[in-house]
Amino acid sequence: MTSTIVKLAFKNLGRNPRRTLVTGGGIAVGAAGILLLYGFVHFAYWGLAERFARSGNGQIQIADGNWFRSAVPEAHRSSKANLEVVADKVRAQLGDQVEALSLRRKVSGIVSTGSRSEIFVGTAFDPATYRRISASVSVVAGKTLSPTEPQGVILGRVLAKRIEAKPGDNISLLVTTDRGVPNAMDATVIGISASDSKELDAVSLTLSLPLALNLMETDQVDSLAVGLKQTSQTMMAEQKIDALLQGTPLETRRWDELADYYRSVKALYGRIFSFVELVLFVLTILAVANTVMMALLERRAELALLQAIGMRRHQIAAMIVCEGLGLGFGAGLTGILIAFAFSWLVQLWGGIPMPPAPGSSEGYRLNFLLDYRGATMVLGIAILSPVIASLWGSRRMVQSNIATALSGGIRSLVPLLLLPVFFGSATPAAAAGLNPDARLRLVDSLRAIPDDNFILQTTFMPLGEKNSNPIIYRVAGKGDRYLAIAISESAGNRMVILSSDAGMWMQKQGMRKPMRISPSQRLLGQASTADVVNVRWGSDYFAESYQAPTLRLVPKSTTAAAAYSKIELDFPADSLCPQLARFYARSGKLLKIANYEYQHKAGKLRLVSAIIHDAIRTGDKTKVIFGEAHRADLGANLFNPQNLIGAAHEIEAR
Amino acid sequence: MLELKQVTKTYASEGRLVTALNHFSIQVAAGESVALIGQSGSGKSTVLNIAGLIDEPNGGEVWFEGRNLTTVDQKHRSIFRRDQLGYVFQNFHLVPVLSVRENVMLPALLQGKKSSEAARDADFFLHRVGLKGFESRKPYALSGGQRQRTAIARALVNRPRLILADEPTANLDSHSGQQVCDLLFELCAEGQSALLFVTHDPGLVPQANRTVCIKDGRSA
Repeated sequence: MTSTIVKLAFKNLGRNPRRTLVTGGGIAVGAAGILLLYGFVHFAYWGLAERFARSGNGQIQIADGNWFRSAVPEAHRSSKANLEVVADKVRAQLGDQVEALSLRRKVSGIVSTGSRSEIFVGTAFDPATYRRISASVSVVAGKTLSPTEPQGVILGRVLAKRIEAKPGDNISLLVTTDRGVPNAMDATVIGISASDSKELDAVSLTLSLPLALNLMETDQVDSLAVGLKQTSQTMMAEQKIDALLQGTPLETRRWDELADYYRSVKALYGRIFSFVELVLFVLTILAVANTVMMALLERRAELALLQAIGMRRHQIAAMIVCEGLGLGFGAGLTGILIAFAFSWLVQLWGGIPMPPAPGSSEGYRLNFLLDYRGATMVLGIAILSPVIASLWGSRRMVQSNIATALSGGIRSLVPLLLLPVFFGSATPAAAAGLNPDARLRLVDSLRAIPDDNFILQTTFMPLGEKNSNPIIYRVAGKGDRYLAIAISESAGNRMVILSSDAGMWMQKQGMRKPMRISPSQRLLGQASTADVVNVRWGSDYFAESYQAPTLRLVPKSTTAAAAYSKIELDFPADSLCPQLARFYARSGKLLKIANYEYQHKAGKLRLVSAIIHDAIRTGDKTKVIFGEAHRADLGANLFNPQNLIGAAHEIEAR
Repeated sequence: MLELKQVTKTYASEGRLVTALNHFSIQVAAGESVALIGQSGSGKSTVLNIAGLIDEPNGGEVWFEGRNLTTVDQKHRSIFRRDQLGYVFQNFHLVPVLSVRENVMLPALLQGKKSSEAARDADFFLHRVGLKGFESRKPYALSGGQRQRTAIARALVNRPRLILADEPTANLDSHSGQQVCDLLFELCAEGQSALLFVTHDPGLVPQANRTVCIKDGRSA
């Protein structure tokens, strides 16, 4: 039974490929948008994390526990020797995972060139490992710290400008030592650094650890920075280091615990992302719900039929939900593929150039960091939206009265139609008491031409400016095939027209071969008049909407049978017989207008004539008068394009 | 086998209360065929809908093989429709996305039959209704008569105890209509099923075992 439900659900998805594609496309674009937003936000997180960790801070810092917690951290520094022992142990424990280790010490004071002085906030590092632990620090002039130049310092770009210093210049550093006495030392500017922040560049000074400790007359350092090759290994590395530090006053802190700026940005972006995600999710649900409801309304009689032959309510609901599931899964996967493809292209291009972020002096190149978590989340959303819409729709559908639904009535349907009304699209045919689908079925029952084996006589009377003689056709029909013979013409000038799902052919007496009428020819002139007469409403078109007085039909497929992109049928008030029809080409151009006349025949209302106006050659109009159809046993060989003249003789003889 | 006792059905239409059935009663025995006749709007289709448990009466009872169906829950109503009932609708109501065979297989699959078994049963009844060779066609590629015969094969595929048919020949020419009716009577007699059908066709009425005329919701 489950396989039957799944099979039915998937067949239903293919019922109206255009609508399925449009709905699925909407979900796919929404899913791709959410995933790209996720990728953008995570790229921003990743950029901030890497920049913090690779600016001398490392992914993990080790220090006395009170140094992290206290409001006066300088009272809780550690000795250089102790942390050097710890550094050796960490290096041994983590092995290849370690990019670099460096002791750190903060120093602040005044930097002077003799003529100009400014306050500086400096950080001292082990010069041997500085380059590797500060890979993201940009040295824009000169060089970086080196053990061979123990007196070398790197100035922030703005600070260097303020004191008018450049690489190679001698400067003096004036500080208050840990013991509280003033001290000063000479140093050499070896480089100029630039960061994203002008404020930071105005005070930043980087120096080697031996110089800093000499300057401060101490062996006390702040912390040990552990730089890892992969930031993703931080948690694992921290656990190992914690195990090493057990029983000592030393503690660890990860980069994300130390980076206040990262945390505040993440909190802000997280809120924005969640909000946008929610909005997109709700919009997707509403858009999908609208389409799903319209699709279910069209199939209301069919769903009632399934109930009538014994399908249980939960099975019908499962089938509808399964349709939503299939649609969501397919569209979600497509959306994910679109997002990954777009992200890949952007990466190939080197990222999208972006202006500097607020507070930054440098722009950056945007990329999208997509991963399986984001893809899974997006797939979940893509599946959830149509499933929620389908669940809601199926509940409404199976609760309606089966007999009413089978007859196409609208009782208990009003709540279903609230959504289309809310979206301002199709409105119910509540006034006339019929939904569009039921209305279309009634129109079909009024057709002058029966569905099965028949022969009837039809008269085409040109009424336009070029008033010519009427042409009488004898029309033979079998299923979807029609053969029309112009019997009013002289024997040598007789024309035979064959119309079927496969196309349309015409042959005149004397022509050796039939001529195939192209789709464009079919929409013009006399051929189109015949085509308009032959339109099988319900077989080839869906009732898309009814907004009094107009019932709008769209083709079920793009086969030759459904030649028009749209047909509008206008009903007089309180009537179920369309009085006027407008036929549109795929370009949206109005091709034909038909006015219909009905009469009661044998107790039934029947279409007796139609006046067809050519909307392109205005003024051209033809009245088509339908004769009585009578049943006839017609062989399939009569409808062969290669035997039109022979078939015409046979039909004429009947 | 089937008994409707004092069934009443009213519904609202254009702000008025319309009585479709007014204390209407009918009995149909196993193997019996009963023609339900009457003018349009007399309540014939409502009788079928209530007997087929696709509509609910406002009063009265529906009994089938000694069981009062008026009081059963939705689940058992579905099971009754699936296992005991074959319904031929006036407008065929075929599922457009399914082939002729798949349409006929559907009730059998709902009953839990294996796909191969359901296909075998479907082919058997399609051959009986003269649709051999049409199994893979979609409903839109069939004529009205062929659709009606497909609907009949679908109604019969589970060999139901009760067959309800709403104007089974309305869309057929007299020859096809006679064929369809012969088939229904034959299959009804074969399976000792009860057949209750609505018709306007005066040629069809004498062929039923019994005729019930309905006027203004009452037996006339």
